[in-house]
Amino acid sequence: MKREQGFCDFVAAVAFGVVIASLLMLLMGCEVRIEDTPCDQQQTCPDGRCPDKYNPGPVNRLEKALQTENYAGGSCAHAATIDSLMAQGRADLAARWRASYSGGASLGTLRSAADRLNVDYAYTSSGDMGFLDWCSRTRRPACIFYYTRHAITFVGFEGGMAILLDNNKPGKEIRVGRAEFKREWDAYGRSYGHTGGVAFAAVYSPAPPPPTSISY
Amino acid sequence: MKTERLFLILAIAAVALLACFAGYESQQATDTLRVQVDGMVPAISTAPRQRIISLPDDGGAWHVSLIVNSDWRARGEQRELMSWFYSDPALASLRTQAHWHIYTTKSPIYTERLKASLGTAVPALLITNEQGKTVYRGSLRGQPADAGPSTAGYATIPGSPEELVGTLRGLFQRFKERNCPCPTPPAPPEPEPVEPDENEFVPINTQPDLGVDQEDDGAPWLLLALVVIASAGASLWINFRRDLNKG
Repeated sequence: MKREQGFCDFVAAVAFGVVIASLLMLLMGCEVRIEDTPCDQQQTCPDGRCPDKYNPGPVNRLEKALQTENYAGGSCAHAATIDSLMAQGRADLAARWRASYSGGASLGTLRSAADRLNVDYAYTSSGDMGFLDWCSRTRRPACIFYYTRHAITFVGFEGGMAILLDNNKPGKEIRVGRAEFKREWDAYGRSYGHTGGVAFAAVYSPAPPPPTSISY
Repeated sequence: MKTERLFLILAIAAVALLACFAGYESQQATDTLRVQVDGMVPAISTAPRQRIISLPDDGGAWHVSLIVNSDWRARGEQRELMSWFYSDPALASLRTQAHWHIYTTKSPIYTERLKASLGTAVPALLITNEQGKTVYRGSLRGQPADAGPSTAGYATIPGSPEELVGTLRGLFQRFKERNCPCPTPPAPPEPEPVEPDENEFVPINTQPDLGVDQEDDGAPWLLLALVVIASAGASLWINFRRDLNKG
């Protein structure tokens, strides 16, 4: 009986402590949220201090004239890589790439080609969605292995959809739900012997979005 | 008493597990930002070619675009305007903090994306935020007839870097006031006033938020753990004293 009473006291004391601590945490949390939440909805400031967060710009949609159509009877991976370069304002490297390479390409081919042209790049061959999120967030399109024996351009994620450009049908945007895209991207990557989806992006300064007005 | 001790041990173990779990989640979030990269850093002779580094998370940076002719080196005023962004400390600071672009009138990005707004005036300067909102656009001879409409107006680029810096400083401040009405907490007392560096622009978002909650000092969890342990200890002490008195 004595032991049971002691046990009840113990549980009550712990429960009381939890309630007090939770109340304190709630109060502290509110103080932080008042500062942070409204800023998420705002534009970035020039000084980057208010807010600390930023809204990533629109995905780097390539105008039709900037897209590269599949060439030389089947150079889809090269065409998609050229899209990545064009979206980052490197028309010079894009022209050199096109003049230098054509035909089918594996990830290894793309890496070797980039090395030879001294092109900066990043890639994943394990279906790392963090990589594509980075591509999207920083407006750097990537060549992805998608569809059977095909490679296309991943432009970014927008509204929960992957925005894709097929170099066999330039000018036409393809939108695929994120979950479905991830599943298929991984499957196509595995069909090439990789552990997951494959993406390959050039890494330069992304071109500015189309200018829009601002209200003063 | 054995039961109480057992529960105290379990409570401590639970808090420890919670801390470990939080640490693991934070590490996972950081790992997703790391991808396989090659060709971005100088090779280390003995290291494998494939390396893991963090990629630039610069999606929040502004864009500074200078439009020139292909033969800008042979054109004095274009060459001079270009040189401002390398010789003037404030403009050089702006250049390094933003995505810096030099486009010629033949660059596809200019012809397909920027020309509709800027028109055909060359040289021209365009500053947009990461959303594409125009903060400044101007040319040495003011607005051309074929420039697109914009509430940002169309400026004539002044004749000296100092004047351009002054203009931009005012615009940035105005942009900040209009577009960042974030409520700010009361400022903590400053230790001592710091003289602003006239050569420095207030930095543009060079290290924007990574979209990952990396900074959590864990103070609330520590508080919870302390309160729970203190409560459990108090309970044990009371029971111990009660047993002693009754015994």
